[in-house]
Amino acid sequence: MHNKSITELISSLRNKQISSVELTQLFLDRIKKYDQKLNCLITNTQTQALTDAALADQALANGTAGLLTGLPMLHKDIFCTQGIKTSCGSRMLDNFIAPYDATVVTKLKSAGTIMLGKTNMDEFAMGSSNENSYYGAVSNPWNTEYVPGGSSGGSAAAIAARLAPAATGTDTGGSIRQPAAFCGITGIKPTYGLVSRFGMIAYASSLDQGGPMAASAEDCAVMLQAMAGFDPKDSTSLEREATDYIKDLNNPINKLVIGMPKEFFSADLNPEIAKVVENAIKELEKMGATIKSISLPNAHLSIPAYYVIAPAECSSNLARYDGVRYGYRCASPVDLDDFYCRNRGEGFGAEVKRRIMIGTYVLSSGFYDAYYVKAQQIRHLIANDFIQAFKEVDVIMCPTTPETAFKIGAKNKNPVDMYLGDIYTTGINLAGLPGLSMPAGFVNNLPVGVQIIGNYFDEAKILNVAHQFQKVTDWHKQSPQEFA
Amino acid sequence: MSFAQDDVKKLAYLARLAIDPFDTSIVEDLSNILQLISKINEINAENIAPMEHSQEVSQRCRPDIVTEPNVRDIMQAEIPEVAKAAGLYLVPKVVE
Repeated sequence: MHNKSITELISSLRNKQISSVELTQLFLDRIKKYDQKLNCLITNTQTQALTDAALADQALANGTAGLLTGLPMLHKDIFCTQGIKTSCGSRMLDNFIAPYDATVVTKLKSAGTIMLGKTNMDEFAMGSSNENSYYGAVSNPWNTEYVPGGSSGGSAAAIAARLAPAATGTDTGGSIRQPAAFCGITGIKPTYGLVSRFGMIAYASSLDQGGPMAASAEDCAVMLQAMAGFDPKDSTSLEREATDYIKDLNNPINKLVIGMPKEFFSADLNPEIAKVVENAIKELEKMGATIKSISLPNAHLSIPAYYVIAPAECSSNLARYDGVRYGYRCASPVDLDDFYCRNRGEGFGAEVKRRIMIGTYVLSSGFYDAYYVKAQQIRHLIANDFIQAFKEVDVIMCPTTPETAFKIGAKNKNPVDMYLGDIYTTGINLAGLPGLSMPAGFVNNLPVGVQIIGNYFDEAKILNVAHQFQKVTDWHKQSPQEFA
Repeated sequence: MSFAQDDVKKLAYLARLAIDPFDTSIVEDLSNILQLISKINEINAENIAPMEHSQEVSQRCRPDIVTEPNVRDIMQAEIPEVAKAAGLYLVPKVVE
């Protein structure tokens, strides 16, 4: 049962093959059995889950069920959940009980989902390994000595170990796609503005975007259907007609033109990963797609530009955490300055402090033009490269990451080593485009992700391409033996 | 390009972050990051407009009507250091 797709689970619930209480209990049992080893969850909401599941069973019985009624799922601990601890992976918010629900949580609740718990993450979504969490590192189910990626590492590992059929994630520079790649699951970062950011704790507001993580593209399409849509509470939410992400999944792709950016297949790329990605593209070619070499000449600037813009926005967003109204408070402050400095110094972890200080530096009066404005100009160049490319191709395909998951602790010496792993993902956030990662093979028994990038609002198309690939392959159906 | 210990102390204070004054690794880490981001200075982007939003959108306005009730009690419900009866937050003495 735990390996079934979301569509199959919904149909089993509707056909009374299983009740929501039984299905919820099944996943709660898996969490109990396996999560001590993986550390995917920060908070387990099992009592509430079983109460909600009983209500879902009533709705299923009396015909008032919604799109996802009775489906258990997990929320990344960056989404505010009313009455439930929302820590964002930080000591700063270890005592924070959210007073309201994020719009994404409200939408998924009204679609009928059951929340099993809140997932572990890099503190304030800053990290690519989930090692920056106040609640400890998460293990990759494919090899528990390895990282699951980050920042949505708890969500990705939980899906890979089938502790839940779906989870929410957020992606500022790759935080849905990179852990999806490392854990062998599917995840989509939608176009900026498609999914509401209201109640999603801010890291870098012009880049942050929530999205679904699940086993397959079909599962992600079903979840996105419930998550996407205009929200007046988010001033950057885009008002546009609703799209059906499910109906186009089976469209043929024989007229599809796939762009392969030559900069992303250079000599720097691990040849084994290159082979997995090329094989995936060949599979789509067999279905009639055409391949075209393209160029993204400013792609090499995406990491330096990202690590100016994201810290700048983070230093501004995280200025709110002063410990006055909520959050961590230090013991016996001597004066107000000491109170602020120690609340923040003790409440934030090392990576968050580094990014706040870099952000403070690039926004300071002498350096604002040289760093922040310049990075925003480069952002325009990067976006223009993509806009140009999409005049010739329908989707762009490339690796999600330059390497597979690495050992826990292997990249803790120099933060820049970790940043360089974001080479294929950050540009998509800077441009505001949608991107999906799907599993397409293994290198040294660790999953490899392929990224499909779409034009603005082309989520249905990239989900369609991924679904067509997953119809003829079974990489997305493989699960780690230890958690079978 | 790199930071000196005093630069980092100044930045930490500007951001109101207490850091360990004897920890030299933070100076090294920030210097490495500075070196990485300084690569943006290798190209000329003089006539390119800075990009503020990926879509050409402007800020929406809404009618000036009250939509949210007063939620002070809810907001203060979970805070331990609050003078609940008065609805005030407690902080260290500000005026000497």
